[in-house]
Amino acid sequence: MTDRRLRIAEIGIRLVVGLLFAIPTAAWADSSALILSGVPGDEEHAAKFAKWTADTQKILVDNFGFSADRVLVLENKKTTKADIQGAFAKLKQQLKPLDTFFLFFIGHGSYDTDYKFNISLADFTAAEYNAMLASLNVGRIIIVNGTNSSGGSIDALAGKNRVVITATRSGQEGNDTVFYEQFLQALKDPAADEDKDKKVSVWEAFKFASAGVERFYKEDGRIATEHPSISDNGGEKIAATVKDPPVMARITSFKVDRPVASADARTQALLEEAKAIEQKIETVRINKETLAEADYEKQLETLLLQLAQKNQQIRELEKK
Amino acid sequence: MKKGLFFLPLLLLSCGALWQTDVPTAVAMVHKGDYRAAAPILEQAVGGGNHDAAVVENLYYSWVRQGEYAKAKERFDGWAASNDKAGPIRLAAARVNHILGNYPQAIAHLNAILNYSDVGPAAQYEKAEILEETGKRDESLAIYQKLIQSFQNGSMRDPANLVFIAGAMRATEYFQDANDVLKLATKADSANADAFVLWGELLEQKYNEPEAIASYQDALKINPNHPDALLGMARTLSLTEPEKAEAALNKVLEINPNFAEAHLLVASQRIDSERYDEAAPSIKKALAVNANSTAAHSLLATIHFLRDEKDDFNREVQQVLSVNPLYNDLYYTLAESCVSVRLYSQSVTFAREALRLNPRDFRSMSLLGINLMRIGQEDEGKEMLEAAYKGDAFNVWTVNTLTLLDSFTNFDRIETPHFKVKLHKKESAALRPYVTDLLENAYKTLSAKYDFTPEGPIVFEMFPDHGDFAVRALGLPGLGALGVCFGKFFVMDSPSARKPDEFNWGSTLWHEFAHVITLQMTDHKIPRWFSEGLSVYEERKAFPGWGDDMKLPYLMAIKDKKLLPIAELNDGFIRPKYEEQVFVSYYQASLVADYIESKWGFPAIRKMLMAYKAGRSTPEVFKEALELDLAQFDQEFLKWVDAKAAAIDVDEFKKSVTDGQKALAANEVDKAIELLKKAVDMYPEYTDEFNAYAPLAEAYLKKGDKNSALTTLQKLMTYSETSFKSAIQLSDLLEERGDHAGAKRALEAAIYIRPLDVEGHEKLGKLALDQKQFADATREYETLLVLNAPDRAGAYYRLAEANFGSGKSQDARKNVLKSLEIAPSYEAAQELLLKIVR
Repeated sequence: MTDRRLRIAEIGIRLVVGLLFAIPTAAWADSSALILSGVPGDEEHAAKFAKWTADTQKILVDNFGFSADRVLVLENKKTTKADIQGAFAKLKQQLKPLDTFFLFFIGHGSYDTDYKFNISLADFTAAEYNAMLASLNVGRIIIVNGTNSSGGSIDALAGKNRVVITATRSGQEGNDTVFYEQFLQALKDPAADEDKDKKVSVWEAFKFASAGVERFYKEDGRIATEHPSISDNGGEKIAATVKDPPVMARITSFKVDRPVASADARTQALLEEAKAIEQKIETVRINKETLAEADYEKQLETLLLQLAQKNQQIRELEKK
Repeated sequence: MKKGLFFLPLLLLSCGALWQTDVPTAVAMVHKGDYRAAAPILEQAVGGGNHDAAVVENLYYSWVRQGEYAKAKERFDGWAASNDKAGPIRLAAARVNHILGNYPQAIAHLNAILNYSDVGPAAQYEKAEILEETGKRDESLAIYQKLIQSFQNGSMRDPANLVFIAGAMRATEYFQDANDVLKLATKADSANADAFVLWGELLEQKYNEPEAIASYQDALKINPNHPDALLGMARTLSLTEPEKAEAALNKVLEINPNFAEAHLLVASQRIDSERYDEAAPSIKKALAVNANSTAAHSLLATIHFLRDEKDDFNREVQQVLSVNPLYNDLYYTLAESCVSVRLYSQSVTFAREALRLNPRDFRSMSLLGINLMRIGQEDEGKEMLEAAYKGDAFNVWTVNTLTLLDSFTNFDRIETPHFKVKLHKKESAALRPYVTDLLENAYKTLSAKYDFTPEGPIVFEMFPDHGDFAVRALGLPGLGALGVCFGKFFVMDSPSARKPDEFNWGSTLWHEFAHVITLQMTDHKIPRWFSEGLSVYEERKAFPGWGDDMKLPYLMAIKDKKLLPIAELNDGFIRPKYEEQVFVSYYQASLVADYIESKWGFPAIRKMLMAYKAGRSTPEVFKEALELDLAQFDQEFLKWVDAKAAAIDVDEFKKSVTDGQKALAANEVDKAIELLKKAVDMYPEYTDEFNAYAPLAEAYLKKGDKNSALTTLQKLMTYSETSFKSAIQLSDLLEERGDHAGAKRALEAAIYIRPLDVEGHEKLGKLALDQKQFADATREYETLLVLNAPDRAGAYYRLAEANFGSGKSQDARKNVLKSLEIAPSYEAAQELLLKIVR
């Protein structure tokens, strides 16, 4: 990449980040989720899928601030085409343009020339799911597909304003996966919150889960038969080992995005100042490669200190 | 009467006809190995004037392959005297005199027939061999080259002579050509067992054991009693299939009780096992056949050297060199035997001597290179290996070692007060603090205990690739061991070379360092079994749970009376007769050390080591230090061991564990506890898969009895060195109880199993930080960062806390900023930053 193109890319990133931060506080976004738990096939899988489904629902509502009526669950025999279409019809009513929609696939997948998720009776293809998703008028769509062969669904489901996470990197990885178990762990474990912002971002969850998958196979001394992948905002699928995390996944959190606000004007002003400093920090971090090391460190240190002092002031005010 | 007279000529005619018909049959019998039946028929034929080359040769084989050398010599010398133009007779006479070491007589027979059309090539080849064996290397080479030229210019194409051509090519280092000619020979005559044997020997020489074995097997399909083929099998299978090798060796000695090479193989195996008294009679049997045998005298020289019998050693060396002044194999044999008993410096000296006698002895050159590396002379070692490779690219030891040396650019080199350490770059940052710490700890502890300061610097290497470790240790992949010690240099697998929880790197390091002490303090004269026994014994002393306890195979070996007497214990390591015998031998040897300590005290062990250093034999050592002969010791020791195992009923134990686990699965917690506790009490040393401890702890926890769960896990960890998850669980319970020191110890145990696992370091770091043990905390969090722990912001923050607690404000500032760079909103890190800058 030439310098010029690099700079344009940076401006692009800064613009995206800036816009994302610029959501006016009055029009806050909400989140909805659809958990599709397919036909299990046997008792062992039935127990596993039921647990994953229940855990996902619980975490979304109890930990991440989802309203219970905004977490739709379709399980086992209740996953016919009609059931799913019905759910999407409800979501169309629910979702607003600034909202984020989360779609979870729990179950068995298959791949021949196309990916299919194993539901009750006839299956939808990935392209059909894509069509249903495209019909939603929503800000962002996050898809977590934990099935075997799920990598085969990425091409069909990826797109602008979408993040697609799959347990496998291709449709050919057809063995049972452990990814979803690790993914749930990521949603529960505070250690997954790498940047300590008290939220688990989509990227953080993916990274933590991917590390968990790797550890699982290593401990057993087995060759890994699944390789989690992510496609961000229509980009190529990548693994968790990339140096620069993709932007949309990084800034989208599972926690319902309700901005922090205060009734006290002084506190509110400090909160906004803190937010502004956070943005500056983000900009310096994005510009890291273009700055001399000493300069980068000095700028960062100054801003971090300012942010620390600002947050200390906020905490002191909140104590009163 | 007329009738009788009429019948007599018929009778005579039929006898003669019968006699003539039997000869081809008898020849066929020899080809198939039925020497006993064939010999009288062929003797009668040859004695009666049949000097056909094939008939004479097969009579020769039928006698010599049964070991009837004296008879063969007497007959053939006698016939040669009265038939001095009979080429085949003179060839046979030469051959048998050659076997018996009567070289001038053999040469005299051969000189008379070198140009005979029927036996000339065979005679030339035989002469070249004798000249080679008596140090006339140049003359020998000239004959070999002439034979090869005859083949190349087309004047010698008789398929029957191809084996001699191949032999000549092999002797002149044209190995590929020899291989090609043997292909022709076996294609021309697929029933030529001798050709297959020669081929096997060629392949064996070129380190291609699988194909060598296949060739010997081809020979044996034709002639199941071919002594050279059986001997070849005995040699090539000795390490991989010792039972089959032994069977082959036994068979060949049954067929030919006087087979010198077979006796010498037996002798060399006894020498490897340090059973010198048993080796000597075998050598004597070989010398009874050929008193001039340089190979036999070389082995005698080896025994005398290893027993420190200088005059006898010198005498044997002189004897060898008087027969063949260029016999480099003398020194190769000495060098190799020194390696078996870990006398690496001496091996270097002898290998150099071998090269002085024959600069093209690439086998010795490779051995020299490898052993120079083992005594720390890496540069010269590498130089030798490179030269050895140029001379013989087939030598797998050379190739593997050079490939490994090339990979050393990927290693970090670290120096501590007493060690030069090599760790692979990909893991050196994570392993370094623990490895260097443990090395120095081992040095301090064992030097003091044994009152011995080992010569240094001591080189230590850890390999994340097991194949590389095996090559470094042995020159070949496929080594089952975890570590190897050469005296001043020891190597081992890194934890990442194996599956998680397969072994304990800490105990392995300790074990190998213990060898440094015992090898050096005895000038490497300690027998293998005792060195291994002491190393396992020292593992047990070093850390709770380290060192093998009575695993199930060991228990079964005790119950089945499979433990070896002390006099044979080395064989358990070198030539195991059943799959687990090596491990059983390690365990047995460690029990010997335990037993000696329990009955006579540690000073007795030191006394034994000093006696070995002084060159005493094992019986002498036991007499001097313990006042017992070996048989008495064996008796008392085995009684002691049997008592340890007597109370364990394996079937009962297994049933208790199985039933206990079933009860636990069915939530019958009290029943589970009863059964599993019974199992633990009966066989506390069983900690492998499906042990009773883990489910028993689980049962106690289900019942809410944390104290009992804790006690159970503590007991497990006194026997197990690989139960990582239990160690972590134990540390959690101890920490909950407020026993921070205990929790720390449990986590240390975990890190000796999985040093590259984040969980153990996270817990240990937190524990250390909570206890304000800032140096330990710093180490843990630095390790976590190197291991790329998921919570990097957290690791930097806690590292900063540890820095700050140690008064290192600059480091604290640097690290807390790193934390905030990842997580700008991290409240705890923000507070620390403000504290630091205040």
